[in-house]
Amino acid sequence: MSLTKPVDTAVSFDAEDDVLSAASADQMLVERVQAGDVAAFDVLVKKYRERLYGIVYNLTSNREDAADITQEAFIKAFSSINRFKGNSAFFTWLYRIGVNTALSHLKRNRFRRFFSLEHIQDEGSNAQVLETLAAKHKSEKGALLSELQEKLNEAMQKLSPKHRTVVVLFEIEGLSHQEIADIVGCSVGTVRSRLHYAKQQLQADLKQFID
Amino acid sequence: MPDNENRQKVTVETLLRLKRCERPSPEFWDDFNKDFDRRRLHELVKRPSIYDLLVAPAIRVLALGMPVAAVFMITFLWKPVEKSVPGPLFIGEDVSDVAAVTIEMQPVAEVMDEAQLELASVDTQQMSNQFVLDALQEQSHHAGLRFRKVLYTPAIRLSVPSGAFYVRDSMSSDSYQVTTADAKLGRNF
Repeated sequence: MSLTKPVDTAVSFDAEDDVLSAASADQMLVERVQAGDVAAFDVLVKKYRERLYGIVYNLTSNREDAADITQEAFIKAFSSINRFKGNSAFFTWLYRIGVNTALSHLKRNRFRRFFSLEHIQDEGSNAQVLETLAAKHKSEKGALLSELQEKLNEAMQKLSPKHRTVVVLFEIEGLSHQEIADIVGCSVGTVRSRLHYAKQQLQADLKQFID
Repeated sequence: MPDNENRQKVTVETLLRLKRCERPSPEFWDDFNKDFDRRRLHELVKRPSIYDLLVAPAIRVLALGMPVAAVFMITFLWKPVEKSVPGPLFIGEDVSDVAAVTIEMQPVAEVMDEAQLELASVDTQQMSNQFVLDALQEQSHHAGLRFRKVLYTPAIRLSVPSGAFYVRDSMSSDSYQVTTADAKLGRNF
C-alpha cells in the first residue's frame, strides 16, 4: 500500500505532464500555422484525424459521410485558425468544430440516412467480450459480430444527436465530463444527465446482449 | 461454474467500447490525405465571392443591429397610452339634445315601419355610411396629434345623405373640419 500511492501519484503527474506538453506542442504548431506555415497544420491533421474521424463516424454511422465531414472540419479549422486564441486546448476547439459540422450534417440529412460501417478490428479485450457473447448466444463469432455491430449502430442512431454526442465523447472517445461540456457548450450537470438518459435507452435497446 | 466466473460481464459500456475498434484501414488515410490536400488548396486559392464580401457582412450587421434597434425603440420612443381626459371642447358642449334624440322611446313596430319606408327611398350603397352625431368627445396629445373619440348613432331619421361623408374617422388631427352632418346638427367643434 505504501508503495502504490507514490507510484500512482507519479503516474498521475506523468499523465498531467503529458497533457500539458501535448497542449503546449499543439499551441506551438497553431502559432506556426497562424504565422503562415501551412505544413505545421499537416502535423495537427495527422495527429487528430483518427480521433476526429472516430467521433464523426460514431455520430453518423456512415464512413463516407464521416470522411467528408472530418475533412470539412479540418478545412474550417484551417480557415479560422487566426481566430483561435488559445483560451481552450486546440483539440477541444477542433472537436467542437467537428461535432458541430456533424450535427449540422445530420440535421440537413435527417430523412436520408443509411449505414456504411467500418470493420471491427477483432483484438484484445474485444475478443474476450465476443467470446462471452458467442458462448451465451451459442452462435458463431463472425455472425454475432456483424449482428452486434448492426444493433449497436441502430441503437446509437435511435438516440437524439445531443445524447449520441455525449455517449460518443465519453464512452467511445474517453473524454472527461468537463472536456465534453467544453466541446458541446453546456454544463457538466447537463452532460451527466444526458449520459444517464442515453445509457438507459441503450440498455433497453441492447438488452438481448447485456447480462 | 469456473467458466462462468471467467466470463466478462457484458454491460452497455463494454458494448460501446467495441465501437472503438470500428476503424478504417491504413489505405483509407492515403485517400483521405489526398482529398484533404485538394480541398485545402481549393480553399487557399478561392477568391471571396460577392456573398462573402457583401451579403454575409450585411446579414451579420442586420442580425446584430435589429435587436439593438428594437431595444432602442422600445426604450426611447415607445410611451404608454395616456389615460384620456375630456378636452375643453367637451366641457362647454351641451349634449342633452343629442342624448334625448338617441334614447327616444317609440313602439318597436312603428320604428320598423318608418325605417323601412325611408330605406326604400335611399340609395342602399350609402346606407352603411349613415352614422352621425357625436355623443362623446375625448382627446389626448401624443407627438403633436390630437385624438378624438366620438360615438355615432344612425342618422337615418335625420336626412337623406347626399354623398357627403357622414362618418368621420374617429382619429383626426388639429385641422378638424366640420362635416355636413355636423352642420345639419348645428355642431361646431
